[in-house]
Amino acid sequence: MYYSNVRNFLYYKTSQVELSEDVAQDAFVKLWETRDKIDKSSIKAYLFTIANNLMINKLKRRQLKYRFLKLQEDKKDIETPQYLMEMEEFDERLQNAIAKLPDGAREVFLMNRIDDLKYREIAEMLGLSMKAVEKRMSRALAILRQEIEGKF
Amino acid sequence: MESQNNRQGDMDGHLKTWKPPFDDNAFAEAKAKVMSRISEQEDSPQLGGEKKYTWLKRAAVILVIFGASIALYLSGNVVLENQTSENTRFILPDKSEVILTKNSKLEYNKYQWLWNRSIDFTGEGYFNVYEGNEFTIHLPEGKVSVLGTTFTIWANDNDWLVHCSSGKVSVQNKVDTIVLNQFEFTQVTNGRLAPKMIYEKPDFIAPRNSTILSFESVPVGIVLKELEKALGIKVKNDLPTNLIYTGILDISDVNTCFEVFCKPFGAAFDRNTDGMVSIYLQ
Repeated sequence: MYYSNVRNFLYYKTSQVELSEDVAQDAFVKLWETRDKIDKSSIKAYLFTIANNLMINKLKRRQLKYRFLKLQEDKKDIETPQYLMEMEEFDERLQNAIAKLPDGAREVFLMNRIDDLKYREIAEMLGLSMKAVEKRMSRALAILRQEIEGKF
Repeated sequence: MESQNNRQGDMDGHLKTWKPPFDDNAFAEAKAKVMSRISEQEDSPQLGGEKKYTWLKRAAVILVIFGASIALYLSGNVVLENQTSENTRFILPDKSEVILTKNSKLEYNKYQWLWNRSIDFTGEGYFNVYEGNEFTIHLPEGKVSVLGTTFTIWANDNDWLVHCSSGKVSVQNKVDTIVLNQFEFTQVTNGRLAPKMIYEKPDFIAPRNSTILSFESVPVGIVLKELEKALGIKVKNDLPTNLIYTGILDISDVNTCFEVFCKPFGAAFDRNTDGMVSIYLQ
Protein backbone atom coordinates (compact mmCIF):
# COMPACT_ATOMS: atom_id res chain seq x y z
CA MET A 1 0.00 0.00 0.00
CA TYR A 2 2.18 2.82 -1.28
CA TYR A 3 0.06 5.68 -0.03
CA SER A 4 0.33 4.82 3.66
CA ASN A 5 4.05 4.08 3.30
CA VAL A 6 4.66 7.51 1.82
CA ARG A 7 2.42 9.28 4.31
CA ASN A 8 4.03 7.49 7.25
CA PHE A 9 7.52 8.21 5.95
CA LEU A 10 6.63 11.91 5.94
CA TYR A 11 5.24 11.62 9.45
CA TYR A 12 8.43 9.98 10.67
CA LYS A 13 10.32 12.78 9.05
CA THR A 14 8.30 15.63 10.54
CA SER A 15 5.89 14.37 13.25
CA GLN A 16 3.26 16.60 11.60
CA VAL A 17 -0.04 14.78 10.97
CA GLU A 18 -1.88 17.10 8.58
CA LEU A 19 1.22 18.17 6.74
CA SER A 20 2.11 14.54 6.09
CA GLU A 21 -1.32 13.79 4.62
CA ASP A 22 -1.26 16.93 2.47
CA VAL A 23 2.23 16.42 1.11
CA ALA A 24 1.60 12.70 0.52
CA GLN A 25 -1.39 13.65 -1.63
CA ASP A 26 0.64 16.36 -3.38
CA ALA A 27 3.25 13.74 -4.21
CA PHE A 28 0.70 11.47 -5.87
CA VAL A 29 -0.71 14.33 -7.88
CA LYS A 30 2.80 15.32 -8.93
CA LEU A 31 3.54 11.72 -9.84
CA TRP A 32 0.50 11.69 -12.12
CA GLU A 33 1.55 14.98 -13.70
CA THR A 34 4.99 13.69 -14.56
CA ARG A 35 4.01 10.09 -15.27
CA ASP A 36 5.28 10.12 -18.84
CA LYS A 37 8.78 11.03 -17.77
CA ILE A 38 9.44 8.25 -15.29
CA ASP A 39 10.79 4.77 -15.60
CA LYS A 40 8.01 2.40 -14.53
CA SER A 41 10.42 0.14 -12.69
CA SER A 42 11.35 2.81 -10.18
CA ILE A 43 7.96 4.34 -9.46
CA LYS A 44 8.32 3.71 -5.73
CA ALA A 45 11.68 5.46 -5.44
CA TYR A 46 10.43 8.28 -7.62
CA LEU A 47 7.36 8.75 -5.46
CA PHE A 48 9.41 8.92 -2.28
CA THR A 49 11.83 11.38 -3.85
CA ILE A 50 8.96 13.66 -4.85
CA ALA A 51 7.45 13.42 -1.37
CA ASN A 52 10.77 14.11 0.29
CA ASN A 53 11.52 17.11 -1.89
CA LEU A 54 8.05 18.59 -1.50
CA MET A 55 8.38 18.24 2.25
CA ILE A 56 11.80 19.82 2.41
CA ASN A 57 10.40 22.85 0.61
CA LYS A 58 7.49 23.15 3.03
CA LEU A 59 9.23 22.43 6.26
CA LYS A 60 10.62 24.96 8.64
CA ARG A 61 12.97 23.48 11.18
CA ARG A 62 10.67 22.53 14.01
CA GLN A 63 11.00 20.33 17.00
CA LEU A 64 9.73 16.82 16.50
CA LYS A 65 6.90 15.66 18.74
CA TYR A 66 5.46 12.28 17.92
CA ARG A 67 2.04 11.01 18.97
CA PHE A 68 2.00 7.36 18.20
CA LEU A 69 -1.20 5.48 18.88
CA LYS A 70 -1.38 2.11 20.55
CA LEU A 71 -2.84 -0.83 18.73
CA GLN A 72 -5.47 -2.74 20.62
CA GLU A 73 -4.08 -4.72 23.52
CA ASP A 74 -6.36 -7.35 24.97
CA LYS A 75 -4.33 -7.78 28.11
CA LYS A 76 -5.35 -4.34 29.37
CA ASP A 77 -7.86 -5.44 31.95
CA ILE A 78 -5.54 -7.81 33.78
CA GLU A 79 -2.69 -5.33 34.27
CA THR A 80 -2.41 -3.16 37.35
CA PRO A 81 -2.73 0.61 37.01
CA GLN A 82 0.88 0.79 38.17
CA TYR A 83 2.02 -1.38 35.28
CA LEU A 84 -0.01 0.54 32.74
CA MET A 85 1.44 3.81 33.96
CA GLU A 86 4.96 2.49 33.67
CA MET A 87 4.21 1.30 30.13
CA GLU A 88 2.94 4.74 29.19
CA GLU A 89 5.99 6.41 30.67
CA PHE A 90 8.27 4.13 28.71
CA ASP A 91 6.35 4.89 25.53
CA GLU A 92 6.75 8.58 26.22
CA ARG A 93 10.48 8.26 26.81
CA LEU A 94 10.90 6.13 23.72
CA GLN A 95 9.03 8.64 21.56
CA ASN A 96 11.22 11.45 22.83
CA ALA A 97 14.34 9.40 22.21
CA ILE A 98 13.24 8.65 18.67
CA ALA A 99 12.66 12.35 18.07
CA LYS A 100 16.33 12.87 18.82
CA LEU A 101 17.53 10.47 16.14
CA PRO A 102 19.23 12.17 13.21
CA ASP A 103 17.39 12.67 9.92
CA GLY A 104 17.83 9.69 7.70
CA ALA A 105 18.37 7.20 10.50
CA ARG A 106 15.06 8.05 12.14
CA GLU A 107 12.81 7.47 9.14
CA VAL A 108 14.56 4.22 8.25
CA PHE A 109 14.25 2.96 11.82
CA LEU A 110 10.54 3.71 12.05
CA MET A 111 9.74 2.32 8.60
CA ASN A 112 11.39 -0.92 9.70
CA ARG A 113 9.99 -1.15 13.21
CA ILE A 114 6.49 0.27 12.76
CA ASP A 115 5.60 -0.25 9.10
CA ASP A 116 7.37 -3.63 9.14
CA LEU A 117 9.22 -2.88 5.91
CA LYS A 118 12.24 -5.04 5.18
CA TYR A 119 15.65 -3.45 4.67
CA ARG A 120 15.45 -4.34 0.99
CA GLU A 121 12.12 -2.56 0.60
CA ILE A 122 13.34 0.52 2.43
CA ALA A 123 16.46 0.58 0.27
CA GLU A 124 14.31 0.51 -2.86
CA MET A 125 11.95 3.21 -1.69
CA LEU A 126 14.57 5.64 -0.47
CA GLY A 127 17.06 4.95 -3.22
CA LEU A 128 19.71 3.66 -0.82
CA SER A 129 22.04 0.69 -0.88
CA MET A 130 21.41 -2.18 1.56
CA LYS A 131 24.60 -1.25 3.33
CA ALA A 132 23.43 2.31 3.79
CA VAL A 133 20.16 1.10 5.30
CA GLU A 134 22.01 -1.22 7.68
CA LYS A 135 24.32 1.57 8.74
CA ARG A 136 21.42 3.89 9.51
CA MET A 137 19.66 1.17 11.48
CA SER A 138 22.68 0.42 13.66
CA ARG A 139 23.19 4.12 14.23
CA ALA A 140 19.57 4.48 15.33
CA LEU A 141 19.77 1.48 17.66
CA ALA A 142 23.04 2.65 19.18
CA ILE A 143 21.67 6.11 19.91
CA LEU A 144 18.40 4.77 21.30
CA ARG A 145 20.18 2.34 23.56
CA GLN A 146 22.20 5.21 24.93
CA GLU A 147 19.16 7.45 25.37
CA ILE A 148 17.05 4.82 27.10
CA GLU A 149 19.79 3.34 29.24
CA GLY A 150 21.24 6.68 30.13
CA LYS A 151 18.09 7.34 32.16
CA PHE A 152 18.75 4.49 34.50
CA MET B 1 20.85 -3.69 36.47
CA GLU B 2 19.29 -4.91 33.26
CA SER B 3 21.26 -6.07 30.30
CA GLN B 4 21.36 -4.30 26.98
CA ASN B 5 19.44 -7.07 25.29
CA ASN B 6 16.66 -6.90 27.79
CA ARG B 7 16.31 -3.16 27.34
CA GLN B 8 16.20 -3.55 23.60
CA GLY B 9 13.66 -6.32 24.01
CA ASP B 10 11.46 -3.90 25.93
CA MET B 11 11.91 -1.33 23.22
CA ASP B 12 10.98 -3.68 20.40
CA GLY B 13 8.06 -4.94 22.39
CA HIS B 14 6.77 -1.42 22.70
CA LEU B 15 7.44 -0.49 19.12
CA LYS B 16 5.40 -3.46 17.97
CA THR B 17 2.35 -1.91 19.55
CA TRP B 18 2.65 1.52 17.97
CA LYS B 19 1.00 2.96 14.92
CA PRO B 20 1.15 6.47 13.40
CA PRO B 21 -1.84 8.68 14.33
CA PHE B 22 -3.76 8.41 11.07
CA ASP B 23 -7.39 7.46 10.82
CA ASP B 24 -7.98 4.29 8.79
CA ASN B 25 -11.18 5.78 7.38
CA ALA B 26 -9.26 8.75 6.04
CA PHE B 27 -7.55 6.47 3.56
CA ALA B 28 -10.48 6.33 1.12
CA GLU B 29 -10.94 10.08 1.50
CA ALA B 30 -7.30 10.74 0.72
CA LYS B 31 -7.56 8.67 -2.45
CA ALA B 32 -10.74 10.46 -3.45
CA LYS B 33 -9.03 13.82 -2.98
CA VAL B 34 -6.12 12.83 -5.16
CA MET B 35 -8.49 11.46 -7.82
CA SER B 36 -10.46 14.65 -7.72
CA ARG B 37 -7.40 16.86 -8.13
CA ILE B 38 -6.14 14.79 -11.01
CA SER B 39 -9.56 14.87 -12.71
CA GLU B 40 -9.69 18.66 -12.49
CA GLN B 41 -6.38 18.86 -14.25
CA GLU B 42 -7.44 16.44 -16.93
CA ASP B 43 -10.61 18.36 -17.66
CA SER B 44 -9.49 21.95 -17.69
CA PRO B 45 -6.67 22.44 -20.19
CA GLN B 46 -8.10 20.65 -23.17
CA LEU B 47 -11.25 18.64 -23.43
CA GLY B 48 -11.66 14.96 -23.90
CA GLY B 49 -9.49 14.53 -26.91
CA GLU B 50 -10.63 11.52 -28.82
CA LYS B 51 -11.42 9.45 -25.79
CA LYS B 52 -14.65 9.56 -23.91
CA TYR B 53 -14.10 10.46 -20.29
CA THR B 54 -14.26 7.11 -18.51
CA TRP B 55 -14.08 6.60 -14.81
CA LEU B 56 -12.90 3.04 -14.76
CA LYS B 57 -9.86 3.55 -16.93
CA ARG B 58 -8.61 6.49 -14.91
CA ALA B 59 -9.38 4.92 -11.57
CA ALA B 60 -7.56 1.73 -12.49
CA VAL B 61 -4.38 3.49 -13.55
CA ILE B 62 -4.16 5.70 -10.50
CA LEU B 63 -5.05 2.98 -8.06
CA VAL B 64 -2.29 0.75 -9.29
CA ILE B 65 -0.08 3.47 -7.85
CA PHE B 66 -1.98 3.54 -4.60
CA GLY B 67 -1.37 -0.17 -4.58
CA ALA B 68 -4.54 -1.47 -3.04
CA SER B 69 -8.26 -1.29 -2.65
CA ILE B 70 -9.03 -0.81 -6.30
CA ALA B 71 -12.11 -2.80 -5.44
CA LEU B 72 -13.00 -0.33 -2.71
CA TYR B 73 -12.76 2.67 -4.98
CA LEU B 74 -14.54 1.06 -7.89
CA SER B 75 -17.25 -0.10 -5.56
CA GLY B 76 -18.02 3.60 -5.29
CA ASN B 77 -19.06 3.65 -8.94
CA VAL B 78 -22.78 4.25 -9.30
CA VAL B 79 -24.77 3.77 -12.49
CA LEU B 80 -28.28 5.13 -12.74
CA GLU B 81 -30.13 3.77 -15.72
CA ASN B 82 -33.75 3.99 -16.63
CA GLN B 83 -34.77 0.59 -17.89
CA THR B 84 -38.48 1.30 -17.74
CA SER B 85 -40.51 2.84 -20.52
CA GLU B 86 -41.54 5.83 -18.42
CA ASN B 87 -39.53 8.91 -17.64
CA THR B 88 -38.08 8.24 -14.20
CA ARG B 89 -36.81 10.58 -11.54
CA PHE B 90 -33.63 9.79 -9.61
CA ILE B 91 -32.14 11.65 -6.69
CA LEU B 92 -28.39 12.14 -6.41
CA PRO B 93 -26.47 12.18 -3.11
CA ASP B 94 -26.37 15.98 -3.08
CA LYS B 95 -30.16 16.24 -3.43
CA SER B 96 -29.95 17.13 -7.10
CA GLU B 97 -32.67 15.48 -9.15
CA VAL B 98 -32.55 14.07 -12.60
CA ILE B 99 -35.32 12.76 -14.84
CA LEU B 100 -34.09 10.14 -17.27
CA THR B 101 -35.97 8.95 -20.33
CA LYS B 102 -36.03 5.32 -21.37
CA ASN B 103 -32.54 3.80 -21.77
CA SER B 104 -30.78 6.96 -20.65
CA LYS B 105 -28.06 6.53 -18.12
CA LEU B 106 -25.64 8.36 -15.93
CA GLU B 107 -22.56 7.31 -13.98
CA TYR B 108 -20.66 8.84 -11.08
CA ASN B 109 -18.32 7.82 -8.26
CA LYS B 110 -19.75 8.33 -4.80
CA TYR B 111 -16.38 8.90 -3.15
CA GLN B 112 -15.42 11.56 -5.61
CA TRP B 113 -18.88 13.13 -5.33
CA LEU B 114 -17.94 14.71 -2.00
CA TRP B 115 -15.42 17.01 -3.68
CA ASN B 116 -16.45 17.10 -7.27
CA ARG B 117 -19.96 16.58 -8.62
CA SER B 118 -19.10 14.94 -11.88
CA ILE B 119 -21.10 12.52 -13.99
CA ASP B 120 -21.00 10.80 -17.37
CA PHE B 121 -24.27 10.95 -19.25
CA THR B 122 -25.95 9.57 -22.36
CA GLY B 123 -29.57 9.85 -23.45
CA GLU B 124 -32.10 12.52 -22.61
CA GLY B 125 -32.43 13.96 -19.16
CA TYR B 126 -33.66 16.89 -17.20
CA PHE B 127 -31.43 18.07 -14.38
CA ASN B 128 -32.43 20.05 -11.34
CA VAL B 129 -29.13 20.82 -9.71
CA TYR B 130 -28.96 21.59 -6.02
CA GLU B 131 -26.77 24.52 -5.11
CA GLY B 132 -23.23 23.64 -4.22
CA ASN B 133 -19.90 22.94 -5.87
CA GLU B 134 -19.66 23.03 -9.60
CA PHE B 135 -21.73 20.24 -11.10
CA THR B 136 -20.32 18.82 -14.31
CA ILE B 137 -21.90 16.50 -16.85
CA HIS B 138 -19.57 14.83 -19.28
CA LEU B 139 -20.91 14.17 -22.76
CA PRO B 140 -19.27 12.70 -25.82
CA GLU B 141 -16.67 15.31 -26.74
CA GLY B 142 -17.90 17.99 -24.38
CA LYS B 143 -19.25 19.00 -21.04
CA VAL B 144 -21.92 21.02 -19.32
CA SER B 145 -21.32 22.73 -15.98
CA VAL B 146 -23.70 24.47 -13.67
CA LEU B 147 -23.84 25.78 -10.15
CA GLY B 148 -27.49 25.39 -9.28
CA THR B 149 -30.00 25.36 -12.02
CA THR B 150 -32.38 23.35 -14.23
CA PHE B 151 -31.78 22.27 -17.79
CA THR B 152 -32.48 19.66 -20.47
CA ILE B 153 -29.86 17.65 -22.28
CA TRP B 154 -30.23 15.40 -25.31
CA ALA B 155 -26.96 13.50 -25.77
CA ASN B 156 -26.91 10.31 -27.76
CA ASP B 157 -23.97 10.94 -30.01
CA ASN B 158 -21.77 13.79 -31.11
CA ASP B 159 -24.70 16.06 -32.03
CA TRP B 160 -26.11 16.96 -28.66
CA LEU B 161 -28.42 19.67 -27.39
CA VAL B 162 -28.63 21.62 -24.14
CA HIS B 163 -31.54 23.86 -23.08
CA CYS B 164 -31.45 25.98 -19.92
CA SER B 165 -34.76 26.31 -18.11
CA SER B 166 -33.49 28.34 -15.17
CA GLY B 167 -30.22 29.73 -13.84
CA LYS B 168 -27.09 29.53 -15.98
CA VAL B 169 -25.44 26.67 -17.78
CA SER B 170 -21.95 26.56 -19.26
CA VAL B 171 -21.62 24.34 -22.32
CA GLN B 172 -18.26 23.37 -23.75
CA ASN B 173 -17.00 21.24 -26.54
CA LYS B 174 -13.52 20.86 -27.96
CA VAL B 175 -13.68 24.19 -29.71
CA ASP B 176 -16.38 26.43 -28.24
CA THR B 177 -17.75 27.54 -24.90
CA ILE B 178 -21.19 29.08 -24.50
CA VAL B 179 -23.00 30.25 -21.39
CA LEU B 180 -26.76 29.78 -21.58
CA ASN B 181 -29.21 31.90 -19.63
CA GLN B 182 -32.82 31.02 -18.96
CA PHE B 183 -34.67 29.69 -22.04
CA GLU B 184 -31.56 29.72 -24.20
CA PHE B 185 -30.32 26.60 -25.93
CA THR B 186 -27.54 25.44 -28.17
CA GLN B 187 -26.67 22.32 -30.08
CA VAL B 188 -23.64 20.78 -31.67
CA THR B 189 -23.60 20.72 -35.47
CA ASN B 190 -20.49 19.74 -37.42
CA GLY B 191 -18.43 19.87 -34.26
CA ARG B 192 -19.30 23.50 -33.45
CA LEU B 193 -21.71 24.88 -30.87
CA ALA B 194 -24.51 26.79 -32.57
CA PRO B 195 -25.06 30.41 -31.50
CA LYS B 196 -27.64 30.70 -28.75
CA MET B 197 -31.28 30.29 -29.64
CA ILE B 198 -34.39 30.82 -27.55
CA TYR B 199 -37.23 28.52 -26.62
CA GLU B 200 -39.35 29.62 -23.69
CA LYS B 201 -40.08 26.26 -22.12
CA PRO B 202 -39.58 26.35 -18.35
CA ASP B 203 -39.19 22.63 -17.81
CA PHE B 204 -38.12 19.33 -19.33
CA ILE B 205 -38.09 19.07 -23.11
CA ALA B 206 -38.87 15.40 -23.24
CA PRO B 207 -39.01 13.21 -26.34
CA ARG B 208 -42.58 12.04 -26.87
CA ASN B 209 -43.84 8.59 -27.66
CA SER B 210 -46.83 9.16 -29.87
CA THR B 211 -47.12 8.93 -33.65
CA ILE B 212 -48.70 12.37 -33.84
CA LEU B 213 -46.42 15.13 -32.61
CA SER B 214 -47.72 18.64 -32.25
CA PHE B 215 -45.50 21.69 -32.04
CA GLU B 216 -46.36 25.21 -31.03
CA SER B 217 -43.75 27.85 -31.76
CA VAL B 218 -40.89 25.45 -31.32
CA PRO B 219 -37.48 26.27 -32.79
CA VAL B 220 -36.70 24.15 -35.82
CA GLY B 221 -33.56 22.68 -34.24
CA ILE B 222 -35.60 21.15 -31.47
CA VAL B 223 -38.34 19.91 -33.78
CA LEU B 224 -35.76 18.09 -35.90
CA LYS B 225 -34.08 16.59 -32.84
CA GLU B 226 -37.39 15.15 -31.78
CA LEU B 227 -38.04 13.79 -35.27
CA GLU B 228 -34.58 12.20 -35.27
CA LYS B 229 -35.36 10.43 -32.05
CA ALA B 230 -38.87 9.38 -33.02
CA LEU B 231 -37.92 8.13 -36.48
CA GLY B 232 -34.49 6.77 -35.59
CA ILE B 233 -32.75 8.58 -38.45
CA LYS B 234 -30.23 11.43 -38.74
CA VAL B 235 -31.35 14.75 -40.15
CA LYS B 236 -29.05 17.26 -41.78
CA ASN B 237 -30.53 20.70 -41.62
CA ASP B 238 -29.60 23.67 -43.80
CA LEU B 239 -32.46 25.86 -42.63
CA PRO B 240 -31.58 28.69 -40.28
CA THR B 241 -32.05 27.22 -36.82
CA ASN B 242 -33.76 30.28 -35.37
CA LEU B 243 -36.88 29.52 -37.42
CA ILE B 244 -39.98 28.57 -35.46
CA TYR B 245 -42.38 25.78 -36.35
CA THR B 246 -46.02 25.37 -35.44
CA GLY B 247 -47.87 22.35 -36.71
CA ILE B 248 -48.78 18.73 -36.31
CA LEU B 249 -46.59 15.98 -37.74
CA ASP B 250 -47.50 12.35 -38.28
CA ILE B 251 -44.37 10.25 -38.00
CA SER B 252 -45.85 7.02 -39.29
CA ASP B 253 -44.55 7.86 -42.76
CA VAL B 254 -41.17 9.56 -43.05
CA ASN B 255 -41.70 11.13 -46.45
CA THR B 256 -45.11 12.61 -45.65
CA CYS B 257 -43.78 13.87 -42.34
CA PHE B 258 -40.98 15.85 -43.95
CA GLU B 259 -43.14 17.08 -46.82
CA VAL B 260 -45.52 18.61 -44.29
CA PHE B 261 -42.66 20.01 -42.22
CA CYS B 262 -40.84 21.64 -45.12
CA LYS B 263 -43.93 23.31 -46.63
CA PRO B 264 -44.20 26.46 -44.47
CA PHE B 265 -40.53 27.27 -45.10
CA GLY B 266 -40.56 26.64 -48.82
CA ALA B 267 -37.94 23.99 -48.20
CA ALA B 268 -37.37 20.53 -49.67
CA PHE B 269 -35.62 17.39 -48.57
CA ASP B 270 -33.63 14.46 -49.92
CA ARG B 271 -33.00 11.04 -48.52
CA ASN B 272 -29.62 9.33 -48.70
CA THR B 273 -29.18 5.62 -49.25
CA ASP B 274 -28.50 5.20 -45.54
CA GLY B 275 -31.79 6.86 -44.68
CA MET B 276 -30.42 10.24 -43.65
CA VAL B 277 -32.68 13.18 -44.47
CA SER B 278 -31.21 16.45 -45.78
CA ILE B 279 -33.35 19.55 -45.62
CA TYR B 280 -32.51 22.57 -47.77
CA LEU B 281 -34.06 25.80 -48.95
CA GLN B 282 -35.25 25.81 -52.52
